[in-house]
Amino acid sequence: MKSIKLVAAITFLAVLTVSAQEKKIKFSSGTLKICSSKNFVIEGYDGKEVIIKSLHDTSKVRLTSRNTNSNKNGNSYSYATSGVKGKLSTKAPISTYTIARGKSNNLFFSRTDEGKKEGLKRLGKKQENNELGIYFTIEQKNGELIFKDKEGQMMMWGNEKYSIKIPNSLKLNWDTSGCRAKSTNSAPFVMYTSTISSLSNFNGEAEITTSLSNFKLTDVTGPVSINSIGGNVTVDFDKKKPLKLYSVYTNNGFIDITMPATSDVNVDANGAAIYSDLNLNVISDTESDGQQHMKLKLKSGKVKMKLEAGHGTIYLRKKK
Amino acid sequence: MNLKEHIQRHKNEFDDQEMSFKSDAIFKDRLKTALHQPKKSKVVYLRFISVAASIILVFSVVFWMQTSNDDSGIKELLASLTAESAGERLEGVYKLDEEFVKEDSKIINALLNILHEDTNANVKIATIEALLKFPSNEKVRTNLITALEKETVPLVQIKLIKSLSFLRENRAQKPLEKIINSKQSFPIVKNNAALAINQLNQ
Repeated sequence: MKSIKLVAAITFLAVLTVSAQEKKIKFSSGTLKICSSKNFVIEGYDGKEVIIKSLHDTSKVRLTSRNTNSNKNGNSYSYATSGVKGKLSTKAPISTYTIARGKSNNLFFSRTDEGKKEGLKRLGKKQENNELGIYFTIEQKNGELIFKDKEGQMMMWGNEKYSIKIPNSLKLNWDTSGCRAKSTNSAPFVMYTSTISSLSNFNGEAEITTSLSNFKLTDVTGPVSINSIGGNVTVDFDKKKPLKLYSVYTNNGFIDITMPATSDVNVDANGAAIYSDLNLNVISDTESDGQQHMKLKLKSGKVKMKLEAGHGTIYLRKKK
Repeated sequence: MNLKEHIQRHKNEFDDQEMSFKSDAIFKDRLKTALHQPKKSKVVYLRFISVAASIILVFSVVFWMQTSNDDSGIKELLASLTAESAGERLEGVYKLDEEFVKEDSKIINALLNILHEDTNANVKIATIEALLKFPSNEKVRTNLITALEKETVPLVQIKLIKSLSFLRENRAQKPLEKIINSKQSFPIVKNNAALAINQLNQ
């Protein structure tokens, strides 16, 4: 294909031997910025530390691809998996495998015996996170704690998943397209999983940006702003009610909100269709270009909910 | 005998008679009521004026306070547009969109500033929505076109494309073509741009 210019890639296979340890970072005021397409299960709590735990089985095989080209011009690249493909397994760890290194037109292979490092710990400060099963970079600057995908890293392992506990005093800024200034097609690779990333029990402010990832929010009181091109947004108020602004924009995903009948909200909804079993007061009801525009109220309408689903459908459910 | 003859006949008798004290008192009373009445009504009139004036004063103070409250309300709203929290900025834009129907250059400039500078896509989309209230404002139209030229966030691009198509803004053709021809654009953005060009050419 013309668009695919062959660029160098180093592929390596690693077997991880890490117990389920946690990484704790003291951080209770400021913004937690997540610039990653990885799968996170985030929960708020009244504490002062950000606690990261890898939920994936670290004994499984993982394949990453490192891009040695800066890829500034937005070209896609290919990566070498030949020679290791057959050994990619999610079952028992492989003790001996082949590593392919070098440019695609000049690959060489080397063999590694994983069994040899048993009982030993990888040295070096930069390796600490790897040992904990954390495969993203953690950085702290200007009052921000930033989690970022490693440059040029390619996730081939769909099970990679993290649990993060964050203080309620923080502001969360979560961008699944990696916080690139230009979140256009220039991304060297795009990986999406159907696994839902989630945020629960959080009382702080949350800003979520995603292109295709699905999101679930449980008992997140707001203010919340979510925007997505094709991702679905599910919001569930199980033990809490919406307390501050909810602003959800998606081009063609669905927006599904479950809340108690006693919620005090004023919903401004636009979508291909709107469904509900709540006893909503209809303030206005118009249609244009195959879109339903409705202004709805529950109780006095204290908390604003702006829901724009584009070509998607909006569901407003009563908590039972 | 009529009255005239009777008076003439008893003329002298009438002259002898003096006026009684009673009539004097009655006259005094009548004089009092006749002379002081107008003074009293003047006082009442003045009182009425002063009451009316104070009512007007109270009303004008209330009105002034209300208008100054409106002013501080706008000021507060404009201040919220530059808040650090995206939630606060969004609240501000939604409120402006709902409450202010009148064109105000201060408000429009604040919204245009967000359109070009804000980092949150939701805030930008809400701002575009608010700006669409002033479809005949040339400044709004040209700024929406320049925003489309610069915007890189797909969801905001789609909103701008739909808005300019809604405004039937022919000057948007060039940036739309640029989006279609750019390798950087998301396919869904290109689709929307192509659709908009088609609608503009209809």
